[in-house]
Amino acid sequence: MRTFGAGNVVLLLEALENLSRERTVEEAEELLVLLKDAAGRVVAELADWCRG
Amino acid sequence: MNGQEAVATVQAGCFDLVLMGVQMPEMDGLEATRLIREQEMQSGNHIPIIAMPTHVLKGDREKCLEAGMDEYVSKPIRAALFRDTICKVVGPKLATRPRADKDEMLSTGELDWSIAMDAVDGDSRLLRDVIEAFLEELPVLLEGLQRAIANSDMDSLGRTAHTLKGG
Repeated sequence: MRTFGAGNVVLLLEALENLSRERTVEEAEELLVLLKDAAGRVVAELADWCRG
Repeated sequence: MNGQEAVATVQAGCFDLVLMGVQMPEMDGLEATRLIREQEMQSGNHIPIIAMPTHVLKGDREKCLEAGMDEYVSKPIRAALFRDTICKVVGPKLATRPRADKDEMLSTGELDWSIAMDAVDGDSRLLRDVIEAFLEELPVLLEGLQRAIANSDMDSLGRTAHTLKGG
């Protein structure tokens, strides 16, 4: 994600990394929802670029 | 990451937002924020900082704001509130950020294409290969995150998130 400058996704992943140290499953689940949403937009943008 | 590393990272990079721990080894988030704000007095910049304390202590919020942080998110983190807080501190700045040069005009949506092109030294064919490999790998990594959470395997969660982030 860093390679593509996906700053929002990198922030979410860093939050997940930090949560993992504190063992908070519920918060990780909520962050994963946000991450999947943002990752979906990243995929769409990358796929558009490859097509275009 | 400790507070000293956080200050050095902010100095070395260009970020839209900092999620700052409060209880950190060597230098806590309060001191790190004070140092960042002191440096900004010379540069005239202001990077939004949101406090994310590991443990919530009485008076923490006030201390964080007094140190120069812009917002405070206590745990458990709620997705909607977290998103609103980020929008509150980052949204207006991003919405009004001037498009200074050609490279920055390449930044649209979720991605910064100037960073992507730099990563492959401007080789668009190589970038296409990297993207295709990434698009194959992404579902596997997302599934790994899901599985790690389902299994409460937080070590695996951290490793997979790190891999997906790209180091």
